[in-house]
Amino acid sequence: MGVIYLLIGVSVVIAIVFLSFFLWASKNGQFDDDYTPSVRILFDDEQLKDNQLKDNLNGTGKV
Amino acid sequence: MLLCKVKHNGIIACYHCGDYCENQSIKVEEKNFCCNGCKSVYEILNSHHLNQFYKLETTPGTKNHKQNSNQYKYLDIDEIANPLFDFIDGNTRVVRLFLPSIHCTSCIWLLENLNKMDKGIISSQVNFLKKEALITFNVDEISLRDLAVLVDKVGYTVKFDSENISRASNKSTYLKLGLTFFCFGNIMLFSFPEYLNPDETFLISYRQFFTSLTFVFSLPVILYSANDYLFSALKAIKHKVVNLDVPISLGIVTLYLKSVYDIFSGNGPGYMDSFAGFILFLLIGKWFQDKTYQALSFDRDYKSYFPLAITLLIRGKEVIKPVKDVLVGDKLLIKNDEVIPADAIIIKGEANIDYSFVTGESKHISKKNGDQVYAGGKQIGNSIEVEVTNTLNQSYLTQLWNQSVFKKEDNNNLENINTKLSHYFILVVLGISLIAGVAWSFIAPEHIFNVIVSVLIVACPCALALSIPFTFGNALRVMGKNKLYLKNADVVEKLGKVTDIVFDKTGTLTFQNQASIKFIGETLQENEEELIMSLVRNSAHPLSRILYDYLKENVAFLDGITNFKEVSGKGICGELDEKEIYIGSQEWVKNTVEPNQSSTRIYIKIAGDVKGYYQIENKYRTGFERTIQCLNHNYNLHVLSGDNNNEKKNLSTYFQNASNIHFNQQPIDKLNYIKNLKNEHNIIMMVGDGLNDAGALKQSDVGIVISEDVYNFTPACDGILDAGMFAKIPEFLQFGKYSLSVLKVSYVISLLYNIIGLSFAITNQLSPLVAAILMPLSSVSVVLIATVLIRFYGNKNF
Repeated sequence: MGVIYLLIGVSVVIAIVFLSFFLWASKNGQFDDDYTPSVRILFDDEQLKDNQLKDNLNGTGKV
Repeated sequence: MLLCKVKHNGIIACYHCGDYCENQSIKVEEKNFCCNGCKSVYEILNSHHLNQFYKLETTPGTKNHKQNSNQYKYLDIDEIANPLFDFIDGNTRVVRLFLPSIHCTSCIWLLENLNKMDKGIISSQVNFLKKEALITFNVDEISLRDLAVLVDKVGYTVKFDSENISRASNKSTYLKLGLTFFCFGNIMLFSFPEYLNPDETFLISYRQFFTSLTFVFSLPVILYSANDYLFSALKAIKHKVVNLDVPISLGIVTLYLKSVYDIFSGNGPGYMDSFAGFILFLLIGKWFQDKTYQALSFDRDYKSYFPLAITLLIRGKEVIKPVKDVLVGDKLLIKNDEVIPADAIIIKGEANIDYSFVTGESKHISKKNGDQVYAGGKQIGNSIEVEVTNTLNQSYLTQLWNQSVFKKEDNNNLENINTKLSHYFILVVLGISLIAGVAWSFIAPEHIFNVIVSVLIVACPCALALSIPFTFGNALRVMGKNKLYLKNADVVEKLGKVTDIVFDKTGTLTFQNQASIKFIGETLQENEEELIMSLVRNSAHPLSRILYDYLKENVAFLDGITNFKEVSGKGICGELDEKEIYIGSQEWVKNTVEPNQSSTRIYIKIAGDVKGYYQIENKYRTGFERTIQCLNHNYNLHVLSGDNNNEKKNLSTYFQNASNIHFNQQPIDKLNYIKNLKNEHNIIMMVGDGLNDAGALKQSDVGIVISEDVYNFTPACDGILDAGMFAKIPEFLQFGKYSLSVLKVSYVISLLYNIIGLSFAITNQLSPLVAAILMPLSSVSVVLIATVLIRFYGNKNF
């Protein structure tokens, strides 16, 4: 049954790794705004189209 | 694609803002717009391929009334601009703009795509709840001022409060909560075998290992998570007072020490699971209670009402300077709608000053060359030039802020329900443990220590401590949903105890920007109304605008005015339909002056015949009558108005006690009035709107500010009420009372659990398992009952 020391030791280490992820995230402001990202993720990504458009205007884009 | 939104009754709505399109000629590609402002925003967005704005939501825009490119001129002064930046590196700047009109998904999208409109903008990120945009830009490509103008142009007025620069975030609450939850989970895991069969051989051989682990995980909880409670209790004891944190800390510390002793003496598993769960529940309660309206500010002082910068005239040239640099003798240029930042004398121009925000006087005051004007007045009309006689800090109207009320951090000595209860609670707990100890000294003296400790542990008022956060926290949210935004949960309690309500008149009982107009004299023909309207249409005077807006509902205007003349301070005249028309003051129309004329009047003379006058009066808010009637029954009502007393008769009919209606009240009078009421042990709610109420709001127990736009300037207060919800004041007060009763119910329930726990403790039967069951059970039931009772009532009665 000595293996239980190893198992618990490993599980505690993993738990602490996750805890440090959480601490890092909250210090980095991940919880500062809990609403806007939920909206932002639903925006259609138009970046590509617009870049093409600009490129077209500049005459450098591939059509 | 939907080209223009046609409402079901056939009215055409503006493609940009959704307003009714009065003039259907403002069109682009079959899209209708209500005004040129909206149209130009559309064109700007269209030219930058930002049409997506209109696809995410229908009519997402806001109507932008004033376009004044000089508005942000002050941002060119480094002294003002530099503190506004969050980050400066080379030519890269990061600025946080407060944009109160952010309101929908489209807003987020547009503001995050600002970089498509100007290549100087590197990126932007919106915080919807705080109504902020964090913009990174290259200062060589676009200045802060141009950035502000750009954002303003697409419909978002930029606000820079002197204090919105640093807003505290609640990072440490999340940190604490997360850490405690982690420790709690692990402790539970290692305590779990104990719950199943404590006598198993497997457990006995590993017990020391498991309990040591729980000890390790309990360290962050006691050292970091619990420190708020422990420090608060220590502070209270030092000041020789008892708050709820004292019994809580007593329980926590006993629980912890007993567990540590058990673990290291090998006596048993200890109560670490209960201990961690206990702190976790307390923190959840705190987090729930600490809900704040991030975009609102409850602590503004008068300085944020005044502009950051003003236009100074130096040898005829306009120079923008920070307002704090204004010296006596400086010449200032005050434009339409600008606030006069210091006491001054007019040297050029016709002033028409609105002091309503600082004095409560609703009538605009006309001033001529050489007249004194006071800081805080707002110029309505053409630009004027003034010479400063007194700086802002010594100004006549801002003297109010030298009052002692504003010096003290918190002048609320209202004893809250918790403090009172804590006194009894701690005495009873100590008494019971003493009695139990004495009793056990006769039964079995070896258990005395154990029993006393058990009593202290189980009496720890965890559920009691959760009653307030969840009752008032829920009440706060229900009220917020109904547009009464309270500063914190403590205000709910005070709201439930209010005995006296003091109202301001101008802007509080009456509408801020709406007037009721009555014609007094012989009845006007429609044709005569047409003549009057056609004439006032040509004048920019505020009274003319009011009259025009009133008349345009009924009649159309005629063309062909000749000999139009406007004499400022007097009135206008002109000829139409071969009739000579005079509109204006009594002196202008009738050549007589009646002294002490209390109301604002516009006299009318058509073809030599004085028809009468339009009387412009404040309009009482919708639901005013019902609100006062409801409140009359249960509260003492008072009215303090800075205005003259021509409304006295009218108001007296509504209010039960007419002697409580006072007029011509200076801000300092209002403050003293509240002070006197307080000395009679009344609990006072002050409802006001302007700077003139600031002293009274601060002095009262509950200061509520009524605001048409809650993001606008509001004086320091305990709550901000959306003006549209004025008629709900009785419901809010009723709800406050109800919340207090709910609190009492949950107190009774949590005390019941304490009694059950005590019966285990004094019979020396408190095992870790019993503690681990009782504690969460009591907490959860209190939380549930408070939430359900408050939410149910809230949904039913609002």
